[in-house]
Amino acid sequence: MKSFFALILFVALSLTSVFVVNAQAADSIWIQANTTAYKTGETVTVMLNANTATPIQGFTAQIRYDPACLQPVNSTSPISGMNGLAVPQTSGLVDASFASTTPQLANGVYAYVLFTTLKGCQTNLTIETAALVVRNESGFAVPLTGVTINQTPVALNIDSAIGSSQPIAAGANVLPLAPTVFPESKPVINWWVVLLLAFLAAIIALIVAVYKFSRPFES
Amino acid sequence: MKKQKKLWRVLNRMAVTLAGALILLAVMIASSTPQAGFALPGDLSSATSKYPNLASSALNTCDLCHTASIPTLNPFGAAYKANGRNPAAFGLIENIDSDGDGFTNIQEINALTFPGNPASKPAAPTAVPPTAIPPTAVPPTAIPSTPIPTAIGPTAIPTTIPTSAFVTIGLTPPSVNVGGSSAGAVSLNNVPAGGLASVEFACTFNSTIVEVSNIVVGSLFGADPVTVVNGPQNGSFLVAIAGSKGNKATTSGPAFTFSAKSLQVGQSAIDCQTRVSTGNLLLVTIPSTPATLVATSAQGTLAGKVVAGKPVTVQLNNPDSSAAGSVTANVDGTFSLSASAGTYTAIASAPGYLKAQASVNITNGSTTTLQTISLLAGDIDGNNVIDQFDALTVGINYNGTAPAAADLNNDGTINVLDLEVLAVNYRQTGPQAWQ
Repeated sequence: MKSFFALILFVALSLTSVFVVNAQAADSIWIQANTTAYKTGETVTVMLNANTATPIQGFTAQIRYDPACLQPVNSTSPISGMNGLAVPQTSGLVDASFASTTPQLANGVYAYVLFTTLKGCQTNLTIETAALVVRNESGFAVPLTGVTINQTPVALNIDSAIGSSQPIAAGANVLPLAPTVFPESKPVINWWVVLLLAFLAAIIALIVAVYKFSRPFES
Repeated sequence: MKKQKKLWRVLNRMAVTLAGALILLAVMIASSTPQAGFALPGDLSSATSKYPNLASSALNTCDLCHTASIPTLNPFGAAYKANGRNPAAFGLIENIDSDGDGFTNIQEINALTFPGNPASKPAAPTAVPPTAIPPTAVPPTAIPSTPIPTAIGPTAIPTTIPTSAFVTIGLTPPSVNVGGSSAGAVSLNNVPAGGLASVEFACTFNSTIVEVSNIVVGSLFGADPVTVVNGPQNGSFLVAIAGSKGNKATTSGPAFTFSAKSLQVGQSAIDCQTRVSTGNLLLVTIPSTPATLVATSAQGTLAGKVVAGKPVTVQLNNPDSSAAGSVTANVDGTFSLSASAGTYTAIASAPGYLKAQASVNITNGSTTTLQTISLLAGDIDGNNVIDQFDALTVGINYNGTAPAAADLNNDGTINVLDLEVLAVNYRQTGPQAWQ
């Protein structure tokens, strides 16, 4: 009886382990954060994960975030030969794409995406679009078909208390993700016009003064 | 008295000489009488009366009826003698071939060859095929008329060999739009005074360009002519006309008319190889000048300028999206494209660039000009949006040369400079509006 129970337990544990491993076993993409609780000013590291049995030449992910709570910093890929493609970023959406000139077979973490927390927030990170990329016969980058995108939000709890900021890695393979900021146009002061107006004001003031001084002598 | 005698002797000698001459002449006449075939002036005058064309020809000699050994008769002379040796005898032996050379006597007389000599015969009509001499090679006026009296039927009717006759083909109008029709007329010109008894037109045309129909034979050959119309089929048709009840075409004019409908843009020659007969059962080819039907399309022109770093193609689409035409723009981006009048969608495209699209109305005979437009670089995969997959195509082909569409700056290498060009237009979508 004991051995039978032990056998049942073994089978159950085995199936459990298989199910855990295969939770993302099919070709899929998903994100996860290292922790879910942060203080203001701390760095959030989001891992972009993928599983596939197909060698790929690139991947791309667009992650929606709340710009009031988070500030994108950069992204890096641990896959050798995967280089970040710098494209214009828009506020509220991280656009991270990496490419390799040779096919790469990888599973697990494809990229780290770093954010800085801005204030106390309950916020989410969600994959909006993503793709694993292969090269077609004509040489164009096309998405690998049959890849499931897990769009389950990653919830973050940011405390308003100021935390300690971590050093941000920088290097040749770091993909900057800061939204493109267009400088506001400042009014240009034309000093020549200002001087002219000041001169005219002085003339007017002089005339008024002469008029006032001349009034007591009027009959 | 002596003088009188001397005069008498002279007169006597003269009388004797004359008598001898008369006796000799009588002997000669007596010896020739049994030879009935001797060419007497009455026989030749009968021949030239029956056949006036013989009067000034080499046939107006004894050789007409005799062999070289006069007074031996040749076969024609023998036949003439056997049929009565009178003017009517010539008519009775017209349709026989006395010398057995393959030509009847009348054919030889008309051709001015000796009907009694097999070595003398006309050139065979089939020796020179009708197509051997293209109608255009010999202008109608280059062949002088040769008036040669001939005989038709029992009654001699002067006529001419119709070598001066020729055929013209008229098309009104000569140029039509596709789908339009032109009225055609095939006319006999310079018809000989003796008239033409029949005519045969073997006409050809390009059936991919032209459709011929409504062939109507006119009254050139009088009322109720006998006609045969074969076709049109596979680019040819045949019209044969023969006058009935002795009617002939005696004046120039249209022998038949037809309708030519243009099927597609192009041009087609319409030619009719023509043979005629004066009624002597001989068909003679006469020159024909072909006509050309030009089928055009009512067209206008679309012009403009499209700026891009790659070769630009401008395509016109019909409302149902089918292609109506396209053109590759010049190096400076200018283009010109002809099309039938109508409303189209013009699409300018270049590899790696967002397309530009305009709705254009092309009118017949005028030029519609679109504003100059610069295409936006970056749509490498041509899906009408400049996105991450275009950037990835640069990335996976980095430092390569293909696909050419990824080499946005056209410097021969796909690298960061192309990514830079792409980044300028990132997330732009097409097609660009073009006016």
